[in-house]
Amino acid sequence: MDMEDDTVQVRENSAEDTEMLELPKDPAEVKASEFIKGESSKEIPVESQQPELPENVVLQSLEKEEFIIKLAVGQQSEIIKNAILDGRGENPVPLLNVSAPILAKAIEFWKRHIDAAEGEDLTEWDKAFLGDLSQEVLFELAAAANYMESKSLLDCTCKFIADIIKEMKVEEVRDYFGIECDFTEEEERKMREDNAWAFEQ
Amino acid sequence: MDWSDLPPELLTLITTFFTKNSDYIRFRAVCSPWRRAAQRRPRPGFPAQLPLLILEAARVFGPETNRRVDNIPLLWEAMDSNCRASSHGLLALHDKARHLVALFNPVTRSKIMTLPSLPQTISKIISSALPTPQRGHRFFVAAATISGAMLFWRPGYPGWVPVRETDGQICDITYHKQQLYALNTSPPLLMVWDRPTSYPTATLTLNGGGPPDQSFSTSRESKRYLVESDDELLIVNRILLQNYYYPNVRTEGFEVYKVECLLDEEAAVSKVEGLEDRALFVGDDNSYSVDTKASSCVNVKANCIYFVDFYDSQHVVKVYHLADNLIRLLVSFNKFKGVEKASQSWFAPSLC
Repeated sequence: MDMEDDTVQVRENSAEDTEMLELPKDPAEVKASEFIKGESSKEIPVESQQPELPENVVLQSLEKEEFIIKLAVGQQSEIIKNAILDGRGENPVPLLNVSAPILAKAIEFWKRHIDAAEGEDLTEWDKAFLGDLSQEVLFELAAAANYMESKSLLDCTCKFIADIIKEMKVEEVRDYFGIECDFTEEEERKMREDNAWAFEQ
Repeated sequence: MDWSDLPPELLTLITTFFTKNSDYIRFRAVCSPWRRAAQRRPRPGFPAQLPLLILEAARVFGPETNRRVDNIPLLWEAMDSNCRASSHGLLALHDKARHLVALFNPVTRSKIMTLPSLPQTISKIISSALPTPQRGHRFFVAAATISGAMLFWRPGYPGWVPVRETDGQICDITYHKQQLYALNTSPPLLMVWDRPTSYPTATLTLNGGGPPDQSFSTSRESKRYLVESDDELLIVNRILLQNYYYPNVRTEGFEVYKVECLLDEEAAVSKVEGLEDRALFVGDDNSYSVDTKASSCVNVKANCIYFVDFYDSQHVVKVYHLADNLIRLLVSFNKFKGVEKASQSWFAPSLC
């Protein structure tokens, strides 16, 4: 920027001038500002450059069901956060891959995490919350957390799933999650032979 | 709802919550989509595994598994050759007949590389970094022999390069912050190499903190280890009881020293009173420092040193507690059926 440019300097000056011009003329207000210590002139509100953020956000599920939540709650999902903050103010935010009951569960999780006191440990609550869910809901919730890019919910559901898997033998994992083994007998045998110790619990 | 159909990034995220090699290996054996999502090598940052004690040639004991003996099968060659636990989760198989040395990962079952022939008997062999194809020539291997000599090799060298040390014996070597350190017993010196040359980059006299008779170079019979712990370099003095002759070894106690500020020709050594959250595993081939607060650390006590004594024809794993200066028994190997003997080698396996 060319500091020699008079135009620029004028603009800077005019900013100060504007401030001075905006000193309240109402005597009552003048008295109030006398009580304000420090740089009272700078506390005059300047017109905001950004559109105002809504206090509430409306989310729309797959079935077009709508959920109203506070902005802070919804900001735990990057998709929701971006939809609101990118200025287009997309409201309601369409979450077409998430069904209503799953969205409700996600909202419940986010609400509890936003309401948490500073430094409060929610591990027990998280475990109980996820433990209550059916396997199908857990699956859908993890997939939804991935789609909605909600790190807190995603980490929580994945850790919960990892903890289940840790305790089980391979056959037990397949049984529990209803997974079919698609390895050939030869492949299976080799895997187990290479690291037999890892398969003995 | 098809659990084998979970998005790959979700599956990968699940594996980041595993802390043990065995969990990761079993995950990959459930079905092929899961196997594809979890790479053969876990992400960098996968927790370092706890050291295991090598028993006989093919079995290991882990203090964290609560006295259970595991079998990690080695190559059949390991039965005939001299096996040394090396760094980075590798075993060095030294075929005495043909003098060949191979670096091998027993968990991934892959042979990493073959080193040129080495006629001497090795007491310790370590690499500055994990030898990988990407790394090319940017690492070197140091081998200490039982006669107290040392040799280097790096890819491109036709053979091992002997190191010309001043005099005396090299009792232990370790890498620390990209440099190789060698501890000389008498006179007490610390030699440093930042690259594999015949003469060290620096030779430092060790200056203990206390009066001469309390300095770390005790006159009592002892074994000394150089251990990299967190960001520090430690010298661990293992004080042995007098009447136990090789191959017996019975420990009376330990002293731990920290090597501090390295100046031109001097290294200041100060006594360490407590290891805080760390635990040390000292032994023949490798010594380890473990963070007991890490998620992968189970059943390992903080501020302790794990080691193996051998007397009365049995191997005994014991734990020295710095807090009260006492040694407690962990397990002795005659209790296990079929475990004829142990070694004094700790080995931390790695999937990488």
